Amino acid sequence: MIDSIPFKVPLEFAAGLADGSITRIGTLLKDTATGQIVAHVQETGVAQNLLQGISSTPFMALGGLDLASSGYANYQLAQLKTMVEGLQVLQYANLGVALAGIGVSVIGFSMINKRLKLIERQVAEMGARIEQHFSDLSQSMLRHHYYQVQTLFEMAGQALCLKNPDRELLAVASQLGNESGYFRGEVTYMLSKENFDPELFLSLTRSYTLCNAGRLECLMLARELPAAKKVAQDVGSHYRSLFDPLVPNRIAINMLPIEERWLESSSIKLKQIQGEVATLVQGVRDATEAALTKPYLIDTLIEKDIDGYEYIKTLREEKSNPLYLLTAT
Amino acid sequence: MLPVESVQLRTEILNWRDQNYEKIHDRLARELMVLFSSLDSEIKKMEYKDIFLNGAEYSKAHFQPVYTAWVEREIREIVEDVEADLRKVVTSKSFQFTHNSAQEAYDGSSSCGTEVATATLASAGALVAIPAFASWSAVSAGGIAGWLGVTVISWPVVIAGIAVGGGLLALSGSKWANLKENVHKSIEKNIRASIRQQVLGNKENNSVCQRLHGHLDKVTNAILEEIPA
Repeated sequence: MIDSIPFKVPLEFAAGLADGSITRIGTLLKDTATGQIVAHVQETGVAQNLLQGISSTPFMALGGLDLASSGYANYQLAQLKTMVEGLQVLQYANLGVALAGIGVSVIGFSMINKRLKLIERQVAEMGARIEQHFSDLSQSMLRHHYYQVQTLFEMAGQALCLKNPDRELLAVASQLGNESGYFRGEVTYMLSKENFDPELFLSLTRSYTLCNAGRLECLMLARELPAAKKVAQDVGSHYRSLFDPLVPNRIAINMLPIEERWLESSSIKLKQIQGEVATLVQGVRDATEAALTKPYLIDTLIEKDIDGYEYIKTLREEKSNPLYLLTAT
Repeated sequence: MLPVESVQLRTEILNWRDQNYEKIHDRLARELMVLFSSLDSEIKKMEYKDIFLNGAEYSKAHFQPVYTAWVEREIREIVEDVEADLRKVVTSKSFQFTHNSAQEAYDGSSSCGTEVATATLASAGALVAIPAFASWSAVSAGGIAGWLGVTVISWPVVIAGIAVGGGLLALSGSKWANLKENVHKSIEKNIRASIRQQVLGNKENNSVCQRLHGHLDKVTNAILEEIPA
């Protein structure tokens, strides 16, 4: 099946990327001189399996990843190295791009649920901090939404056992749209506050992006590519509105107690916080760029008449390569 | 869909904003030491009569010009640096921007200062006016006070008061021989604290740094709105 889709591996574009004749923007590669899109970066199920093991550090710089301590067996460790090298060839600095799925998400519904459960646990441990940030948001409200989303992903997984899953998948996609809206609202509200809690921000943002990734996956599996493209466009637009205003220096200053913000003695602390926040902002910015270029990938699938269900299935079943490049020409 | 070049340009503009947010803050924090050193020299020249009889007038006559000159120089150099960085982004090869040499003087009516560049976004084929961060000639013509607000260049009255009050406070428990030195140190300390707030940041959000950051935000938003969607 993989042979019927025009995939290449990142190394085939290494020379062009290195000499500047090819430029990567988000998850697409374009010919620098003509501006023509030449390929789209696309994750496989292997990538998502590997990322699960290092997902506690979603915005870790690629160069700083300690692969040896990932706990992977030799074969998986070799795959992880291949993936990291592939991302480096493609000139990614960190794993931020993976937040929204590299290309179209092929994460799979059960794995999304695993991640959501982990995030939910982390959020539950932040009890008092949630009260501090959201005066009108209780733990039980958040818990309700996490259970709602997890149920939806279970339903999507079960739908794939039906002879004709499209209707069920579309219903789940629609409800995931509502849940995505809920998490977007909470992230927006949180960012409107002066205090910034990076951990809580990341938890809510990851929940939000997982809802969007799953929603797109449902639409792709239901072969509704034009609808998937529209959703991808809207999601990209929402990421812009949410994440464009984030400025590391401003966030870092606001993270200091007000009486310490402009003191000379706070300058070292400020620099340290700023560095950490800058990594986080760079991560969400990479994710935004990836989201903004995702509609182009779906466009290529439509143009090449590639079936959405087969595309996702093929990538999920891939056993060796974590990353592919879908050629656009 | 957002044109591919627009995606790239957006990222570069956001990076420009973030880098200059930090650069403005770091530069002002660093250069404050130069200002403090100049002010310390003036403070050391204060005699008893200057301190206790005409502290406010002395402050206005000797400290304010030093502060005003420093603020003007810093804002000018910051404006030039930030603008140069912006030009690097919009004139970079990948966007094929061309500049319009005509510059209008800043009249204080626009939120973004002058518009100094027109640009052609190759793939979108759209003409985009890229607002400048500011040009120094335009800023100085309209006046810094008109551009960033009067608080950034005014010598705070509170400082004159603090200078004298601090001096009087230093009288208590001091030996006569050390009195002038203690008074000078007290004045230095109080002036530094007040100036840090006026330059780097305060709760009222009207320091030099905060006003420049606010302008950077406005210009960034204006540019992002101009990028073809």
